[in-house]
Amino acid sequence: MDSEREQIRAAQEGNAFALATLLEDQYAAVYRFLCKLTLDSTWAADLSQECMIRAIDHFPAYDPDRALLSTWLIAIAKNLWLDDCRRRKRKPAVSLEDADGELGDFAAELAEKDAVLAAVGHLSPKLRAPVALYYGQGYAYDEIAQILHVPVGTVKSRMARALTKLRKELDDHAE
Amino acid sequence: MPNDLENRLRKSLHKLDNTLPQTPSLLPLVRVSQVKRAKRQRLELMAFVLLSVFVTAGALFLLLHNTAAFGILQMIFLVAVLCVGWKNHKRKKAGRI
Repeated sequence: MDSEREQIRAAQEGNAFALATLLEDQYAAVYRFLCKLTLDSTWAADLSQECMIRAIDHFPAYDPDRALLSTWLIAIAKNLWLDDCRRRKRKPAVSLEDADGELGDFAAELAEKDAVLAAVGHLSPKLRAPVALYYGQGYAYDEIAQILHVPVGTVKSRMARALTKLRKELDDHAE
Repeated sequence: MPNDLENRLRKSLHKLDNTLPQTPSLLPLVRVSQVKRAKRQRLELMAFVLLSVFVTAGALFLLLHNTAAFGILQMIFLVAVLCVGWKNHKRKKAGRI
């Protein structure tokens, strides 16, 4: 932990090697989180790279006392995904259907076979983000609230709505 | 029943952890970004100094030529510019990335 702090300090003082090492260590975690949000490996890879670029540009503003580096990067990744969803006006479910022709897209193939993942793919971005953070990443409610910039109560209500929708969709699927 | 759904969710989402990304080397990106940032900061500083010098010189000129009211107004303008600049800087620092 202390060595990470030292590395962060060095990176903020302009040590390019320290910054590159710090971000490369977190790259896989960010990519996996984005896979859970996008359910599309290619999209997740694109967003991971954008996330790293944004993190490099804003690294001097990062405050290690406010959040862990991994949490800060997850928050950036989530913002990028939301911006991308808005920009493309792409419904979450579309990514699964579009991925039909993309051979080797592990996440999309998995989401097609797995009814639960398919149902997660039909959730709106607002509901999907807390589900991916809580069940996929293991964050606590207060950490999710910090990442999403919303009160804890909002996280709980979104989670309850998401679970209700998922339960309904899975019940319909089973019938 | 709720626990069953939650367990299924955890299990399904964790299946996605098996995706293996190819971690790119970020060092070239970091170097390019540092050069760009240094250039941008130099330009911002230059613009800020030029604006401050221009407004202060204008205010002093007006004060020395006995047009105190205009001079004071220009000083107020200078302080306002500085305040807005500082607030903007703080907002950017704390804002959504």
